Amino acid sequence: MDKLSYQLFMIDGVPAGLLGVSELFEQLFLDGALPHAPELPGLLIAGVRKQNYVPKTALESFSEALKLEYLRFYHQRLSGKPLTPRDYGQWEGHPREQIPWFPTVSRELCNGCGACIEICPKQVFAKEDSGKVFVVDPFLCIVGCCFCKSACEPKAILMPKQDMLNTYRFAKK
Amino acid sequence: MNDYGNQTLPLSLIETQIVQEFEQLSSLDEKYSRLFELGEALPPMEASLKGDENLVKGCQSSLWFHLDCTDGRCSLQADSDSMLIKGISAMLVRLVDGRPIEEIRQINLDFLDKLGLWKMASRANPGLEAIVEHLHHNLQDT
Repeated sequence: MDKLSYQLFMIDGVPAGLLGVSELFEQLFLDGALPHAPELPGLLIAGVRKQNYVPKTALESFSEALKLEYLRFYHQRLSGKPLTPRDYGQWEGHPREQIPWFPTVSRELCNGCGACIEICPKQVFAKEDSGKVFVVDPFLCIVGCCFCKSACEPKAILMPKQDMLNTYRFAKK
Repeated sequence: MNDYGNQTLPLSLIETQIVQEFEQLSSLDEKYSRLFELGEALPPMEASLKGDENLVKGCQSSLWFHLDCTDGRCSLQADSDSMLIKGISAMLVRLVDGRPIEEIRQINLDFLDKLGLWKMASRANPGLEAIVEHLHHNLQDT
């Protein structure tokens, strides 16, 4: 079996590594699944469960996170930009993708003002058609930076605890 | 202290020094690393000073400032749970240290906009504005 992709998701504020999500998204895209289709959550959960354990109690949270990620994927795929894995560099000797430091945006609290998009020097954020902001490329986020959070008046942006970074700073590479 | 003989360097000169230090760094990642290093180099703040009275309100990270003005000259102690805010605080400490009260009233964070760290004007950032407001507010108690 070919090696499956591995991707980190923030599920209810907790990082969860999932296998095979990129392959699932690609298949759904080729099958014509639209990001807002009512059957999409079911397809995503069923697909993810083939390679990963999804607790029943967290079904809704997984579904929300996967829907948002598929929305990003869908737009990127439509734009024609390459989907090949990019090199995000390293932080303290660890591959950037292994460090779960990135913002999460609360859809309920986001007022679409775009201050985070304006302040971020790395194009981490983009706007949905609805005007709400979402994280389009989490691993572009500068490890340790939280300026988007400080600029967000409705307090819609969450960042991980800074202490978490010590795990990576002092861990063996 | 930023003493230059018996004189404190003008605010604008220290701001220019900081800007020039950052101009020498070519990439954004280097600039942020430098900012974090500045924060890490801050002297530890006494735990007894990390009370509510020194907590900067309006900053979404935890940030404590303790301004001490004795014999007309001020010094600032700072600590934060955010590497980034700590780095900015370190720059403020550099600006404040050894300076008379009347000059501290003129301190703002406009020079940060020249560091090439972010695109948005610092004055439009409520968190950064809260930092400056807290500093100026503390002067009223001195």
